Amino acid sequence: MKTSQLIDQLSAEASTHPPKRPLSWPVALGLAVAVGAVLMFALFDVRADLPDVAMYYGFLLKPIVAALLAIPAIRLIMDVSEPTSEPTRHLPWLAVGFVVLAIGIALEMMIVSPANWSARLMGDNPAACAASVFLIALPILSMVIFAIRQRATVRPVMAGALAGLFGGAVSTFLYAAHCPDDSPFFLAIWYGIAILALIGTGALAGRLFLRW
Amino acid sequence: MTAPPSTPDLDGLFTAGLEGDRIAYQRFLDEVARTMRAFLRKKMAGGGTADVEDVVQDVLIAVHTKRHSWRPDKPVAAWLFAIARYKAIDHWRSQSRHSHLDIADFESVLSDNQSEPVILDHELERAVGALSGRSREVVSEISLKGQSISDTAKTLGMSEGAVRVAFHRGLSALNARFKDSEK
Repeated sequence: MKTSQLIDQLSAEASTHPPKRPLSWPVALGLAVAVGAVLMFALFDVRADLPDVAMYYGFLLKPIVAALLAIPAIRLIMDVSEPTSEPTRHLPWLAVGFVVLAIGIALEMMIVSPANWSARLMGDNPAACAASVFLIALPILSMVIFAIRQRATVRPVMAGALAGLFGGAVSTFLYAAHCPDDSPFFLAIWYGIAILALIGTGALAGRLFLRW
Repeated sequence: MTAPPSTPDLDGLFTAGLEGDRIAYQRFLDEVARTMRAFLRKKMAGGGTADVEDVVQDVLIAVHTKRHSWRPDKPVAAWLFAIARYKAIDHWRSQSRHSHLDIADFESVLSDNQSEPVILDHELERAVGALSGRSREVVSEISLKGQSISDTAKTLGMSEGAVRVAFHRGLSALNARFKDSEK
């Protein structure tokens, strides 16, 4: 086809079809979190001793670190979805979550005697925990990928990886209400494995679904 | 007297186009095509006109389908450039993946090879070994081990400038040596 014909076609279409309107970020992300929450509470009970542990550092660290990863991830996802923005500008904010996690680990090392470290690390059921976090995150990840796809990222793999990170962080936040293991060691390793797997899955999904 | 044709106002044409002004949008796309064509002809000096026109059309379609991704607080030109760059890289990647090889390309490569003297690896290593001191270390790091200039500077504890000078000297010496052995 000649370029001039193409231009005629495109401008004819533009005059009859207004530009698309992607789902706004608050709606898209709100829906993503809601779907994750529904899945979480449909599959798992809230732990019975939640009121007792609510002020315990080992428990608190889970939702706090999760939120400290999820919030910068939102900003990064919004940036990476625009063709003109600099997606890496706010990347350093993710470090805050890791610093808080490191403080939690240091605290645990001071409080718990080394003989008990491996028991704390392994917890009750590490494989089930990592698998659950991964599972709850999948619909969140899909929803975020969908929202990025409606926009125009010029870094599809990075965008997908960030969607995976966000899914993992939100899922960690939610699953903390069920998970009986309250050690920062456990959080770092088993939740960490799940989140890394989600980042990888997201990157792959980005490669497959976010290119245009 | 008529006024000289003014440079088209991309922002104005595009925003009018978004509101459904067909003529403005058409002029906008014409302008995009013209700019892209001029730019790509320079960049893709090896590629034919058909190749350039392919990318131009890809960019036009991308600009059109993603026209909602422009934010009013950004200049249209910056947005356009980001999309054009993405599509051009995309095109270049898919080209190198399923590169259509022409027998003519092969012929030119083959004839190039014959005109150039073949230097065997062990000859090259021996020649590098015969270089003096610093040049030998630098050339073997960069040419034989494939290190970058900055890495070489770090491993040898030299400044990057010194590495460049030593590398250049070493290459000149090698060049002279192989020219001699040809005669």
